[in-house]
Amino acid sequence: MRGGAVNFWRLSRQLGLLMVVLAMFLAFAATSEPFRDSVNLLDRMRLWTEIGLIAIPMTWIIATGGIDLSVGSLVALSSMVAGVAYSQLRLPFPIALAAGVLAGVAGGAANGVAASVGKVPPLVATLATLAIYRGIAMGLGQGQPISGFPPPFGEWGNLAFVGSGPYAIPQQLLILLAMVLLGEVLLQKSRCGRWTLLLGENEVAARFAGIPVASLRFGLFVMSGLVSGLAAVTYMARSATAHPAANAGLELQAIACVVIGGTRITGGSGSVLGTFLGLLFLACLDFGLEMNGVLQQTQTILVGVLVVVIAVFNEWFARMSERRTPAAPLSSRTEGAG
Amino acid sequence: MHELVTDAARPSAALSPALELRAVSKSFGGVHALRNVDLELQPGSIHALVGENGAGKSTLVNICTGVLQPDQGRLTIEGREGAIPSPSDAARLGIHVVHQEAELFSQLSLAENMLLAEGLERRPGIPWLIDWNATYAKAENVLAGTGAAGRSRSLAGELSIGHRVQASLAAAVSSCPKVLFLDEPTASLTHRETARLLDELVRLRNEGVAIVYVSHRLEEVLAIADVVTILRDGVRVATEPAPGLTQQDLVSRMVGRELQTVDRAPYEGEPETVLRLDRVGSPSGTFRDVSLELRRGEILGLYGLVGAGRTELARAIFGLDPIAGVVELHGKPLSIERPAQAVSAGLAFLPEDRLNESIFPTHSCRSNLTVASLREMGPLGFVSNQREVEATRRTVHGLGVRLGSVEQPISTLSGGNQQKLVFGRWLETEPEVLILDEPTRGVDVAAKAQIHQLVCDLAARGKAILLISSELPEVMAVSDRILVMAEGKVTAEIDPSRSSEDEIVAAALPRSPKRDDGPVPSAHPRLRAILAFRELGIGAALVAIALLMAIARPAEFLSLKNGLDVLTSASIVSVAAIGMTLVIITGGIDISVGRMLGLVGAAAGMAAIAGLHPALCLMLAVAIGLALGSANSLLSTIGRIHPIVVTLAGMSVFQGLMLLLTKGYEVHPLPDGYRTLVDGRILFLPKVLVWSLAVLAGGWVLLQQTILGRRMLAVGDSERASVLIGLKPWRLRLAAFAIMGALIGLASVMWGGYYGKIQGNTGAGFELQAIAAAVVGGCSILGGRGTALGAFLGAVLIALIRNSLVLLKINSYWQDLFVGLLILAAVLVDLWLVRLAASRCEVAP
Repeated sequence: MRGGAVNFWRLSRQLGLLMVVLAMFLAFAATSEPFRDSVNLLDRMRLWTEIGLIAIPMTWIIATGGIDLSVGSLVALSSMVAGVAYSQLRLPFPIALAAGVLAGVAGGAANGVAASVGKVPPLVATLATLAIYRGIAMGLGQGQPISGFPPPFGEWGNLAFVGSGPYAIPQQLLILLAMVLLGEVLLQKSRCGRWTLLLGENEVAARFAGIPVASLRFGLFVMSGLVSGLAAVTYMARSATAHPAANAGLELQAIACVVIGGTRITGGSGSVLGTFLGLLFLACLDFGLEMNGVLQQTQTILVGVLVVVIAVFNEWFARMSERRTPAAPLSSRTEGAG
Repeated sequence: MHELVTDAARPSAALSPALELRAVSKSFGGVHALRNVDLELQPGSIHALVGENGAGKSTLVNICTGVLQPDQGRLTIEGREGAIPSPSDAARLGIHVVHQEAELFSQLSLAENMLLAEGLERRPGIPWLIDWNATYAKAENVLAGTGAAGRSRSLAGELSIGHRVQASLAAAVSSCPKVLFLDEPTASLTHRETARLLDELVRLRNEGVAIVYVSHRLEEVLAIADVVTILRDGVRVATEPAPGLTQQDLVSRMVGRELQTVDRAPYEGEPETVLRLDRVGSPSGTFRDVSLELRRGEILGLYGLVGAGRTELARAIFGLDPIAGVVELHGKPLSIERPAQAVSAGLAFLPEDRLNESIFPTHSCRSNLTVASLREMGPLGFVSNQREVEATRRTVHGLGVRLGSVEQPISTLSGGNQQKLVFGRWLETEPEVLILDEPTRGVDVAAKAQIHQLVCDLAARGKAILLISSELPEVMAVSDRILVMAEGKVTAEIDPSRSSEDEIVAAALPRSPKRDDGPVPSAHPRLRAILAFRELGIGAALVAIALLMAIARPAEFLSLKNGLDVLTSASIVSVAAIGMTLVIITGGIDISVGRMLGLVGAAAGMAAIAGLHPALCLMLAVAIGLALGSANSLLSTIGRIHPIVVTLAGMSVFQGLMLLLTKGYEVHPLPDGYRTLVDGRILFLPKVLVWSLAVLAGGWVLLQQTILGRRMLAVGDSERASVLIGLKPWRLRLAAFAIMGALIGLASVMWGGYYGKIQGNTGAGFELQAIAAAVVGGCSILGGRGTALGAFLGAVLIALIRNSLVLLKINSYWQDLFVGLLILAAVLVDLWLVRLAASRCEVAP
């Protein structure tokens, strides 16, 4: 038996998603004048920076079989810490921003401690911290947004491009792209990436093989916190405010990107590039439908339906790629420890 | 393949067989588990089924008991051809089974474990309610005379394995079986328990029951069996009368031929001591006072029966479990707390359960091979594909692994080739000490001989090897010295060249009489008490906060109005939380309930505005909720995707549908008639509270008093065990999701009636409140545990905290912080309680 079959199915799943995104892109470009305008398109993409950033460590965490629901709250908390540090504590702006990012790291570390030391299931641990971080963010700002950051910051968030003319690319998008590539290369090529995928496949075997499971889990949550802190920075730059109620539900959109991208929610496989394709899919759908005058509510329904359809397809493809295996879980069920 | 079929040597062989299989085949994912197997079970005969792991014994038992359906072949039951579509059909036909020790619902009572499939007693007149007194009485009746007598109300997890097996057998016997299957019943029993069990089987045989006895213990097989069928690699090798057979006959047919002698080259270097253990023990007592020295170039065999503490010792040395005492490597004390440290110290551990503990099934052979030595596979924390492929090729050639491509998933290889790759994984770490736990379990004969040769070659190259095995011939053939363990202690050191097998077996037998004669300790003596503490704990937290508030803010807090306010604000969430508890109990989760509430509330509200009778609106809401909940569950089952993905999408769909329905406007004002469904009071109680108390009562009845509820708990507790007794997990999950949907429908009417309107964002974040209340109420996110009362109290506790913060004039913006801390505290307390229960776990004898 050749192993090529597996690669064929895995590859065709990714390629398939790419084709779907391209086809959708072309269809929208054909039907909508503003969609064809690259300036519009790229400007609109800016709105998806935070989701895209968050979705990178989310891919890793879901690949281990975990989940991080707290990231939306953590982005709010990071931005509020930075805002309070700047506007109330009068710290220099870069230091205030660093404090915000550090708050993200600390929040991620707390999640990591709960999940790895406390052995709380990540779903519950991050559900609790979702509330905790939101509470702190609201309490810090007394529910009020903070603005009045130095003007160059807002300019960077909205007007900084690489290149010029119709293909001037907003700088955050390049940062996102660089992070996506970094996340993908590390996941597929580094030791930690390999450990992550193996941990999600079989935690017991991972422990027996000497993978430092607890440290790995902890580290991934810290990374998730760090990226949340960075996302807070791009969010503040883009919106010129730190808002304690903002970015609620960000985690769900990030999870949707991950699921569309073909990472199994139960762990064991993962692709950051797939997740990025998922992001492009959602962004393209959102903008394209709007430009075609589709009602917001219809869009929302369509997104939900497509997420399920793609998830079912992904699962089917994954099963096809393992079809000729003797189905280890099944045979272990039938043969037991007898 | 030659077949040695002879008539069962029984005088009563003229009777038609109780159960007969003809040419039965079964395969899983293209791999044959059974091929053309015939089996004939005569009444009044004990038919032993022997074979190595993976030979197909359990598959055969599962086909006979309705758990699996054969791909091909015929079943004849008492002379009539037929099928056994499910375990409950098997039971109806008089076919019963005593499963291995692990197949149980640890969080249900012993009586339920015995009777859940068919036999729970129902109340006269109300057949959907369980009559607990009659059920326990029935169970006690069955248990009379066994070691578990009087324990029918204990949680199964509290009982020793011996008692569980006895109870299971007693339950099977009580239903007057015609055919009785026993799957490795004595694997974890003491000698005396085993003897008692075998006596009972002989008695049953004499009463005319056809008994199938699956066991690895060949001495038992030869002692009680009338006929023996030997399976190898899914094929029947022979069926012969047991008298006249010897263990050697059985072994040679199970493995296909006599074990070959291995080529043992001597180790030429200095035989210095590498690993030394000095009186080490485990805190839980699974092994005690073990001392050993392992030298370079030596193979030290570690023989013993299952449960002797060998695997536990190996795990502890490798840092998987705690160990007390002195462990030295090259004379230096070694303190290993994690396997990663053991690996870098030069230890390697090949675990016994390859499927669950060694391999990453869907990952490539390459990444399965290199997992323990990734540090060597590239610079700067990166993994070089080329080095990995080189390493894999090296192993493939060096160990003779047969594979098509290094990229193929390891699960596509045969067991022997998988095991060689796992060997290769550890050789790549260049270990000094290899601990091999049952290295040839479940591999074919040729691979077995190759692995034995490999072990000897490694020793010759100066590795120190600790070989754990339950196969005496293997230990005898390969080891330089043999340590025998029994009941956690080393009982003998034996030189295999000078000793007989009998000496070794004698040393391995448990001998301490107190274990057999004294009261057998229960596994988790206080499990039930500790878990019951869960609800008491929430109650105590409620009382404590209330007391504090009564002292801090007596005037505002201690009023009936405030008390009712707290309960009222908890009401709507508690209804959803009880539904969510059902879903989580069965192992699911639903994050779409918030948007579902908005959608259903809008639909019902618009119907009310359009003039539909309020009661019909309520029914409409419940029906829509039920349909949406069922849709979530069915989509997850049919599409084979996790409920969290389905309901993530559901969130979006429901929100869109709601906005489409309402065109973005508020549903307002809701007619008074509709609002009075929930607004206002009955006596002095707010109607919303009455509704939620009614749901609480319903939820309590469902989970505590109905068969459906108990089965939902069973599925979440152990899906595997529930399939074996014939439950359909997908149906029970569907029921849980449907009931939850109906409750969301009710909650949406409560919301509309209480607040007077439904807005576009109604229900946003509500799912988190429902999950939080369920979790605070002690519902385990892993399934199998949770109560309606807990969910209700969880919702009340959250509402009380919010109320207290308001009265204490703590800024409402901080509220979420306290709610989050409460969730975290509740889960940590819960984990602590479970660990407390586990730490009291007595050692299985």
